[in-house]
Amino acid sequence: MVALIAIAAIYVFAGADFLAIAHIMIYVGGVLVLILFSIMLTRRSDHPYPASNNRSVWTASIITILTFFLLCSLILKINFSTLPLTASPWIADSTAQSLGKLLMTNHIIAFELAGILLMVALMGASWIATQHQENSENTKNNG
Amino acid sequence: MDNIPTAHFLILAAALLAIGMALVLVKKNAIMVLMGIELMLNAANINLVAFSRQDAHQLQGQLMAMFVLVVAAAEASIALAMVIKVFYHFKTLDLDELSELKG
Repeated sequence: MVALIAIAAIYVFAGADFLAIAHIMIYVGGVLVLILFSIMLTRRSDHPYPASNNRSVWTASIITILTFFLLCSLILKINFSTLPLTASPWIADSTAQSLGKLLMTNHIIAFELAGILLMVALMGASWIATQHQENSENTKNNG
Repeated sequence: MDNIPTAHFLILAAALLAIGMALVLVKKNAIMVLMGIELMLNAANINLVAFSRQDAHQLQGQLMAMFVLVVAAAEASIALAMVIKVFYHFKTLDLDELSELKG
């Protein structure tokens, strides 16, 4: 949760204040509650929680560290002076108004598609989570 | 503090991506793997927002980051519903034991 709020702070530093607020609302208010609920629902009292790591910790960490240093070496090679900043993040007003205008004019199709995607995702999630209770119990009894 | 260089944002995003990838590769629990995927999506979002500063009038990076946020929320809800179904069916979330489809 601290990491998620810190990412919102990074958004504020980058001059995206509306995105920071949306990030806090979605992640801290929505996704974190979902994750907490699923952790609570999948906890078993008779069995220790499978929080242990894989066997291939060393391979995974070597791959991860190599990826990080490869990305860093690529990033440090870029000459950013060819891409000047067009606006200082502290001078500009809130980006909410311009984001809303752009969403309602230039990107209206993507906006509507995002709405449809969210609706379908909610319906699908509730359908997946509530359907076929008796089937799984039958297979459990048979197996 | 006025002008943070874009490279700092990119290095932070690379670190976040590496941490998310480590979570996905190392952890056994399916919920932890999902949290790693969320971290990687956030790394991509930080990149988009950082490059959106070069485009202050169009804000295309921030728009793209917002759609990524929407898709991440949808993905999280669907994936956690599937995690709960998998747990009720197999009585475990250990990804090494969920090998019923293995040939």
